Amino acid sequence: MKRFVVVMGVSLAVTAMALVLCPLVGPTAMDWRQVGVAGSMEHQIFWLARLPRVLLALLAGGALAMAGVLFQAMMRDALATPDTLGVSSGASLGAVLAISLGWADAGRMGGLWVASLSGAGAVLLLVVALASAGRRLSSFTLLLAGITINSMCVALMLFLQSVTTLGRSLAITRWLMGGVDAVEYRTLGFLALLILPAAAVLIWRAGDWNLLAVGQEWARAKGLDTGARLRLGYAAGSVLAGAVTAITGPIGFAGLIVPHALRMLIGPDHRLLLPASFLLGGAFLAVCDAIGRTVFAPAELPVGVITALLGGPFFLWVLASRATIKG
Amino acid sequence: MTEILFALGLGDRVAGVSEYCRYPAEARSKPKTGSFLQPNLEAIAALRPDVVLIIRNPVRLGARLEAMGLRVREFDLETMPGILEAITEIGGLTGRGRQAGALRAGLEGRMEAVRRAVKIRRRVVFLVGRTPQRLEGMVAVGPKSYLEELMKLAGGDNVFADAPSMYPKISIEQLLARDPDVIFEMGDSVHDGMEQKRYREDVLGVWGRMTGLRAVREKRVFPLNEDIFVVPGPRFVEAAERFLVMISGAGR
Repeated sequence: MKRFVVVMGVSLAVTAMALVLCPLVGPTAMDWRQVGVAGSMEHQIFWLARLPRVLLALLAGGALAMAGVLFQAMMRDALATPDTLGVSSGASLGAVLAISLGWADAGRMGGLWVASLSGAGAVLLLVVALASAGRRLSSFTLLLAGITINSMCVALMLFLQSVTTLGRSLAITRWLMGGVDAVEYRTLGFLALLILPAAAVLIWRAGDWNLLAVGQEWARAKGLDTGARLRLGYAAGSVLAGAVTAITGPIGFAGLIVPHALRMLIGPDHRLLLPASFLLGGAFLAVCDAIGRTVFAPAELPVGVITALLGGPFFLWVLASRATIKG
Repeated sequence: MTEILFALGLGDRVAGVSEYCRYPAEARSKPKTGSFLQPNLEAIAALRPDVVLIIRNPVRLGARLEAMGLRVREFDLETMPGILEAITEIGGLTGRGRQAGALRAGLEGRMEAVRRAVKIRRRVVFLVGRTPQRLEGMVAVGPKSYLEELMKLAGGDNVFADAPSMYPKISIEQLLARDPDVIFEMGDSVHDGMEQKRYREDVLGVWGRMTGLRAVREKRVFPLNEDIFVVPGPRFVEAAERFLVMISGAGR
C-alpha cells in the first residue's frame, strides 16, 4: 500500500508538473501578466493554442502508453506495443480509408473515428487469433507478424492515396505526418469520453492482468473468466489506440518507452503499472511536443519524429539486451 | 506548360497533357499522360510527340524520356522569371517567336503595372492546407516559393519568410503571435473543384471565431479556391493582380 501511494504520488506530481510547465514552453515570447487579460495575444495563445495541445498530449500519450502495457500483458511479451503489433497501422488504415472516401471532407470526425477504431480492432483480433489457439507466440514471431501487418497496411494506404482525388491525397499526407495540434475543446471532450472510461475499467480490473500476464491456464485456475477479460482487453485496447490515432495520426513509439522504463523501475504489478503508465505516458508526450513546437519555430516538428528518435534507439537497445541475456 | 502552348495558339498541336491540366477547357479533352510525380512513359511514347515539354521534376523524367529516343525540353516554372523564359524558349522551339514575344511583353507590362500600383504593403500569410472546419493541420507558404514571390510583387510580405522550409507546418499559436494583416487560404479542395460558395462558407465560418486576429477583425481573410493560384503558367499575372486588389483593398 505504501508502495502504491509513493508510485502514484510521484506519477501524479510529474504529470501535474507537465500540465503546468509545458504550456509555458513555446516559440512565442509571452508577457505572462497578460494571460489573464481577455482579448490579449497572450490570453489567446495560452487558451486556444497551448493548453489544448498539452491536454491532447497528456490524453494521447497516456492512452498509447496504457495500450502498450495492456498489449504486453495480453501477449505476455514485453515488446508488444500498439506500433510493433500493427494496431496503430490498422487504425491509420481505417482513418486513411475514411479520408479517401471523403467522410472527413466536411470536417466531421464521426466517420474518421469509427473507421480508425475498427481498423485498430481488426488488427488486434488478427494478432490475438494468431497468438491464441493454445500456443504462445515467441517474440520473434509476434514481431514478424506485426511487421507483416504494418507492411500490408502501408501498401493499402498507398493504394488508397493513389486512387483518391488530389485534394484528399494531400489531406492524407498531412494526416500521416501526425502530431499533436491545438484541437478544439470539443474534440478533447469527445476523446476524453472515449479514453477515460476505457482506462478506468482497465485500472479497476488491474489485478486480473497480473494473473493473465503469467498465463491463461494459471489465470483460469485462479477462477478468472479469461475469455471475458481478454474481450475487455481487445475492446479497451482498440479504443485507446484507435481514438488517439484518429486525432493525432500515427505517433510511433509513444507506447513503448514509458511502459518499459516503468517495468524496470517499479516491477510488473499492473495495479501500479497501468495508472502510472497513463500518467507518465501523457507527461512524456507533452514534453516531446513542447520540444517539437519550439526547436524549429516557426515551423513545427511533428511529435512523432521526436518520439521515434527517442523510441527507436531505445527499442533497439531493449532488443540487444534481451539477445545477450538469451544468447 | 499546357497553358503556355494554348496561349501561343498551339492548342491543336498539343498531343497530350498531364492529369492536372484543366485550363483552358479544350485541354481537358486531350489524351492524359500521367501526373507530375507519376508520368506514364508508355502513354507519352505512344503519342509519338516531336518534342516533350516537361517541368523540372524529382523523378528524372527527362533522362528517362531521352533514353527512349524522345526529344525533351525541361523548364523551371517555379519562379516568375522562369515562366517568362519558358515562354520565349517554347516560342523559339515551335516557330512562334513573334507571338511569344508579344505574350511575354504583355505579361511583363502587367507585372510592372502591378508593381507600380502597390501603395501599401501588408503582412500576409498564405495557407495551402488545413483540416476542414478546424484550425488544425495547417501548412503555410514559406520562403523562396512561387506564391511568396507573387504576393511580394503585389505588396504582401510573407510573415513566414523566416521559416526553415518552403511549406512549413504551423499551428494557430504562430498565427496569433505573428498576427498577419491578410490571410489567404487555399484548401485541398482547390484540386478537387469544390464549389466556390461552399468553400467560402467553410473558410469564413472557421476563421470568424478567431477575433484575436487582425485579419479577421479587418475582414481580410480570403478563400482562394481557384487554380490560377496553383498552376504555374501565363495566368500568374492574373493571380498577382488579384493579390494586389485583396492586399491593398479595404477588406471584404
